[in-house]
Amino acid sequence: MKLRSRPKAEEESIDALLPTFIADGHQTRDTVDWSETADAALEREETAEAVRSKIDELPESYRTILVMHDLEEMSNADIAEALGISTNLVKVRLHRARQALRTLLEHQFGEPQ
Amino acid sequence: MNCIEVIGFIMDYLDGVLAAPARSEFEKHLAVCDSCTAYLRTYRQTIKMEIQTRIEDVTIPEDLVRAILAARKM
Repeated sequence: MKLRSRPKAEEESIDALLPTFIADGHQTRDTVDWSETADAALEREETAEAVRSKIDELPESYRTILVMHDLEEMSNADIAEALGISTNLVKVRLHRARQALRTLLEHQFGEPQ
Repeated sequence: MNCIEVIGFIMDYLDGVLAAPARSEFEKHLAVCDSCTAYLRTYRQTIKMEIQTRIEDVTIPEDLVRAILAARKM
């Protein structure tokens, strides 16, 4: 997997792609399980390209960590050293990046086609 | 645990680094919360789909293909 270059932009917020909760800590809306639909779609050639396109939509500071960890299989410690940030920040951004990508894939696979 | 805590701990749970008492609380919540179970399943599916894009980028070396075909002829 190659990191794709794209124009530098102001760092975008990822908050809109993260889950939201009500005061008692429960999810604002129920999550629908679209994993089986997506699993079936894995057999189609265009699915990988759709996933790459969604990864590209992530803000750069999150996308970089997601690609380094999940695709390049780098350790949190190695990513932290390469980027000059703490291991804890790597973990936080990785988890948020995956959650944001999950939301983007939900838009693709979790809604009626 | 409630939903916000469970979703916060998903990565540690999948990495197997959640301490036993927290893991037990995590699983207790999953047993009664369909929404968090769906969230966990789709989070795991997301990682699987990422990895699939990596696998499709891999080019199998020609030498390896030849070696496999040669071995099958034996």
